[in-house]
Formats: sequence, structure tokens, C-alpha cells
Amino acid sequence: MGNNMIKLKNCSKSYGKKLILDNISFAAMAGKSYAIIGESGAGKSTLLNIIGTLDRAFTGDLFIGNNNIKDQNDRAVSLIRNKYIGFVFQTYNLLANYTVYENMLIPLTYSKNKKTDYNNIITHRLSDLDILDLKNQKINELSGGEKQRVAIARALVNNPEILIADEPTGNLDYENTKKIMNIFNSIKKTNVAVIVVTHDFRVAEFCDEIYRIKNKKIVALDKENLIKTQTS
Amino acid sequence: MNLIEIIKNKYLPIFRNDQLRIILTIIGITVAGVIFLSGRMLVDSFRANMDAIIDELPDDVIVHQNISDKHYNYLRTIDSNEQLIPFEVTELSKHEYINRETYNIPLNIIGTHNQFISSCIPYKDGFPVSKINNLQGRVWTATEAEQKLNVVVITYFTSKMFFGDANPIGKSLLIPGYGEFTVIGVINDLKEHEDSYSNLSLQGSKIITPIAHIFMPLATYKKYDFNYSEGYTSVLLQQHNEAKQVLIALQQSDYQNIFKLSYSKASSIDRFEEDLEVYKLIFTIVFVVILVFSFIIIVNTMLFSIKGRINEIGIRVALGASKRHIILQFIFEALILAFFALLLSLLIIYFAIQVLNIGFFKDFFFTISYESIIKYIIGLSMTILLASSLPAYYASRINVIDTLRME
Repeated sequence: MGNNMIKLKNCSKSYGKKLILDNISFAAMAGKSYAIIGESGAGKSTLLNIIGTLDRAFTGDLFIGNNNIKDQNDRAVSLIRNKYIGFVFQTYNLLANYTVYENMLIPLTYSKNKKTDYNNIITHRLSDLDILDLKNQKINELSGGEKQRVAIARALVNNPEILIADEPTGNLDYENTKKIMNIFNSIKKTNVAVIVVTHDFRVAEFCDEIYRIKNKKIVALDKENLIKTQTS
Repeated sequence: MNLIEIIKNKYLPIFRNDQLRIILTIIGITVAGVIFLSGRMLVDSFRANMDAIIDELPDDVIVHQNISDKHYNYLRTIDSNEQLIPFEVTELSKHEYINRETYNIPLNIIGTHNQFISSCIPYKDGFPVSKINNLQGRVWTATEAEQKLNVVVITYFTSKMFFGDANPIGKSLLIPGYGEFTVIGVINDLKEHEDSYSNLSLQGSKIITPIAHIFMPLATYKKYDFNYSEGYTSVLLQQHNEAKQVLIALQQSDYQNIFKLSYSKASSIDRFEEDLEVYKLIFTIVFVVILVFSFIIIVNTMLFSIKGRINEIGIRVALGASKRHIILQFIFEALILAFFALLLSLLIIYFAIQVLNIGFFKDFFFTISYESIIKYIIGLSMTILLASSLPAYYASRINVIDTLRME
């Protein structure tokens, strides 16, 4: 896989007659983090669903590595999603009556990697995020910050090359937000492309590049100017 | 290790949710299965018991059965020499005797005409057909029978009880509710009515009667000389002359097409097979109904389960599950439920057979064939597979994006 982990070309998306994204292109490289900001309903999450291969009903092309998603069947896309992409959601989307360990097993069981000891992988990932002590706890026993870290650990369990986070700190206080964004930064350094959708500039400024979706288009923002503007 | 984790996590998540619904589903399918297996068990048991009886049946035996009212009247007309005299058996209830005399009389007084319950064929010398000999006196004449005169043939036990060592012939016997009867003969005591097979003959039941028709006389041949049940009397004509005489008379009669009364061994087997076909048809219909019932249970359970687990489906898809994975997951879950129900129903039938064979039914053993079990397993599996496919397909088509609430 080349340096460009994701390449979205000339993408348009409509819900019925309503156009949401109009001929946008976007690329994400390994080892960099991207923030996508925009008003509520601007189409941030729609873009994320497309990039995350969850939504394939769009015009244009999406390349994950060298694979054009448009050419793949459901099974192949699922495998690509499982292997290359990790998701982190605002509402965590963890299975509440499962333990942390069992939640982390889910992506592993859908992977082609059947030989490696799952327990080792999970233990390793939980240690990285300093939450090994939560391994056998049920999700509904955890705090919001702990849940989000578990969600990140689950997203990373298959060593993905892309991490997609949709409002990952939306339910967290600022202290926890900083912790999560620091985690994302360290993940980025392991040659992972991190894409974060947020409406919070404080979160966006943790990322290397910031994009805004406005009027159905995506535009790159000058990060330095943006920070200055926000600060002033 | 990974394999167990994969199966547990990927294919058995249903056991983490909806425990009550799962239990109810398993119970529902188990009940359906037990009903089906019970039916098969009955058919298989009849066959196995029949096979055992038929093996012992001589080739040239003629089994005569279900003598009807019309039949007696006809028989009465064909024997001008009073060699073959129809008569009616009545069972004077033990209850009445107990109340009246505080005696527990084991068996009937036979020979009253007033109450028709069932019948067999006496001869002058007694009841050779039933191996019951006259000890004293005679049986009644055709004229006495026709005019329904108050004459009675009593058992030896009855004679002893009412008349001691005195000769009862010519003496009177007051039968409560029926009036005064003159004793004309004494016969050997009948055996106890311990015939469990008569229980199989539920009067008017179209389901049970076909088997009772063939089973009772054959069972009679094997175990009893005289087989009585209310509404039917089955008599085995072991003496071929008698049997042939009745058979010829019947074949020449107007009733030959109405009453199929006499059978050879071969025709008995044929009739049994015909009856069994009726049973099989009935149980096939029952089986189809049960399959439909199981189908509805599974579809219902799976749809409820899916609706409660939409978020889980979305998460699994986001984490790499394909449509195929989701379909397989739900089908596998349904098959696991069916497996437990199947196991449970087989266990219940196994223990039921063990209990029934302890001795509830004398001389009748219960069994179920491997063929029936295999048919059950295949039928149920196919139904569950089909029933779970529809909800599973529905689950795989759910809009994942909505379930994850990403927008």
C-alpha cells in the first residue's frame, strides 16, 4: 500500500433529491491526522461513512490503498474495512453486555488472521492504552472516558492503517478530550492515517490538517490562521 | 482456542440477550417435536407389536371381528338347526353387585337380552368359539333370543354365590333393573376383563378405530380366548369349521360389502398396512402443522431478536462483518436453538418410552424407529434453516449507518 491510504475522487452524494456532497475529493496519508469540521448537517458524517466504506451509494471513486471500493463486492469490502479501517464513534458503539475483552474480539473474529493468539493481541492493545485492568469488565460498568479508550483499543486491534473517528470526544469533558486526542497523536505516529470528524475547534487543532465541509464542498483550512482566529 | 472464541463471539451472541424468549422458543419447538415424535412412536409401536403378533399367527387362521347387530340378526336366520345361535352379552355392573350383596363378583352374568352391549356366538354346548363350556343346562334357543324371553346363562361363580351347591337350573334370579330371569345354563367363569387393548378402541374415534379393528382380534388370538370391550367384541374363530361356516355365510349374505368381517393372516396384514397408512397420513398432516408452527416460532423469535439487536448488527458490520457473516450468524443461532429443542424432545420421548414400557400397557411395548428420528431431525433442521433464513436476510439488509447513528 502506498503512502496515500485513502483517496476519494469526485465524490457526490445525495439523499433522494437532496445533494449532500458535491463532487468533492479528499486524500489521507499514513502518519498524518486530519480533522473534518463543519456545521451540524453539513455532511461530515456522510463523508466519514463513505471514507469508512459503510456507504457505497455515491458517485465517484474511493481508493483504500490500491483497492477501488467501487469494484469490490460486499465480502471484499468488509474484509478491507476489517483489515485497514478502525472506527471510533461518539456513542462508543460498544456492546454493553459484553466484556472489554469480548468487544475487542469482534473485529478479530472477522479477520483472516486466525492463527495469532487473540488474547495476546488484546492484552497488548489494552496495555498500550493503559487499560489492561479493564479487560474483564463489562462495558456498562465503565466511565465515558474508559469506554472511549476501549473503543479506540478495539479500533486498533487489527492494526488498521486508517483510524476514523466520528465526534470521538463529543461525550467527554475537556480533560478526557485531551487524553483521547493525545492517544490519537501517538497512533498517528505509528504510521496510521487518523481522520477525525468534529465540530469542536479545540479537537481539530490537535490534527495536522483541517478540512471544512461547507455548501456541499470540502475546503482545506489554514491551521495556523484558524487557531489565531479562534484564539482571538 | 481461537476457534472457540470465534464461534462464541461470532455465532452465539443470541445467548447474551433475550434469555426468556430463547427459553420459550426452545420449549415451543420441543413441544412441537414431542407431539410429532409421539405420533411416530405410536405408529412404530403398533408396527413392532403387530410384527411380533403376526409372527406367531398361523397362516390358515381366520380372524373374525366386530360382530354387529345386523350381523347377529343375519346369523340367526341362517341356522335353522339352532346350531349357531346368536346371543347378547351384557355386563351387569360389578357396582350393583357390590352394593347389593357386598360381594365383589369378578365377572358377568351373560345371557340377558334386555341390554345389548356386545355379543358373541354360542352353540348348544356352550361357547366353543370362546372356549367356554357349558357346565349345566344349555344356552338359549333362537326363539328365546328372538322373543327376548327372560332366560339367563350364568357363570359358575354366580351360581355358587346365589344358589350354593343347589342346582340353579330353572331357578329365578332377580337382576336389578332388568326383572326376574330363569336360569337355563351355567358356564365356566370368564376371565377377568383385563384386556388393555380394548382401551385403544375409543368409540367413534376415526383415528383410533382403524388400528383397533385389526389389532384387537390379533391381540386376542395371542393372549385371550374371549375379548370384550364395550361396543365391540372380537372373537377368534380358532376352530376352522366354525370360522369357515361363518365366513361362507357372510360371503353369501347381503352384508358382505358392508361388513368386512373375516380375515386370513395375509389379509389381516394387508389391512394392518392399510390402517397404518391412515395413521401415517394423519401424522404427516400433524407433522406439517408442527413444522409450520415451528416456522412461525423461529421467524418470530429471530425478528424480535434482530429488532433488539440492530445496533449490534451495525457495530459488527462496521468492524468487518459482511452480509454473509450476518446471515450465517442468525441462521447459526436458530440452529443452535433448534439443536437444544431437538435434544430435549428426543430425551423426553426416550424417557417416555422407558416409563410406558414399565407396565402401563400389558403386552404392548413402545418403541420408536431410527427412521422416524432421522426424519424428525431432517424435517426440523430444514424448517429451522428456512425459517431463520428470512429474518437473517432481513438483518443483513439493515441500514448500518442508521444503526450507528453517525449522522
